[in-house]
Amino acid sequence: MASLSTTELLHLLPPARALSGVDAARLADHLSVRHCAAGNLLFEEGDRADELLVVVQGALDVLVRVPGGESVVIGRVGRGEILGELGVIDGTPRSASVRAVAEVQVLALPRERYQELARQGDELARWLLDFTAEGLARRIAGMIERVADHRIAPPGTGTVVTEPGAPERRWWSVLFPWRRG
Amino acid sequence: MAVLALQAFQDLLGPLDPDVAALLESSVFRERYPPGHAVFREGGVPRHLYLLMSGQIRLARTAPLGNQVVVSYVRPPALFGHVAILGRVGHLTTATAMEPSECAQIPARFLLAREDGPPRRLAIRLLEMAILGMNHQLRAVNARLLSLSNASQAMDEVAEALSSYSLLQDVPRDPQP
Repeated sequence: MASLSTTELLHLLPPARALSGVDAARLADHLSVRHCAAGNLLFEEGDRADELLVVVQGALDVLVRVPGGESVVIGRVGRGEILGELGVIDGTPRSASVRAVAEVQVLALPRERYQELARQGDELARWLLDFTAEGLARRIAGMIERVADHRIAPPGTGTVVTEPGAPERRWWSVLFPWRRG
Repeated sequence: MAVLALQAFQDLLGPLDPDVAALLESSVFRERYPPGHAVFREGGVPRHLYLLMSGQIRLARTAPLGNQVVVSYVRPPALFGHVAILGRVGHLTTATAMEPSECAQIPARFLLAREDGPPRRLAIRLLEMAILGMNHQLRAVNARLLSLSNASQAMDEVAEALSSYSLLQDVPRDPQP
């Protein structure tokens, strides 16, 4: 895979097949290929966010620091997923660290290039945002399902509502009604 | 059409060309919701993108046993309703006003690449805002999951604070020991 051109790598992503040949070639011109070996950090929480990254091969763990300095894995991203969209849009530093689980290959779009496309109202900017937004929406949807599956939450967490609009009660007040909600 | 609602979107999107502002003016409207009122219901077809201007909205999902579990709280200014639009699915949660709340609403088609969508520059700005909003929401839901998975880490009040999001409240508060 290392010998593939950026255009060929781009076409490994199903959404890119919706781009016209001209647009795909234009986008490929703005992209560069980056590699990251298993176990290495692609970027670290707090780093300057100067690139939008699209995973074309491999998988990465997303980690955030929790109080006490420990890092916790909060998710995994793989082929076809976008990283670094926040910083590219509003310039905020990386909100999480990303570590390769296996050999990773990503396509990188510099922030200035993205901003130029957005300012011009270029179709490529629109496509990139659609692609990013769909991925994020899928990720949130998956997490919402996982939250709902935690209906019997561990002690001290979770709020259970019996029906829309009803007063909220803590989970233990459902299981142990003599305790105050 | 409420001038306030248009102003709310303009504040979010930055300076707009006159033709774009005129288009928004004819499409944005303002709605007030009393406490307990459902702005939208789980499974419903997403018809609008909501910008919460005041009040507070609770997003909750039905668990397998039929109870509703709070996913996150929305505090102004914040977008909601966009996950279903962009994911091309029905609403994943029920959005309920927790106190008198006011939203500016624009049609869902403004976020989708369609012929009757808005001019591309406006679509790009709206999508950028939606992506920022989703990042805040992602962190809020992440924090909610972390707090649910690690009871020793968070007390109820902290878990609740972590699970709320707003465009102003960029990073959820760290749980206190």
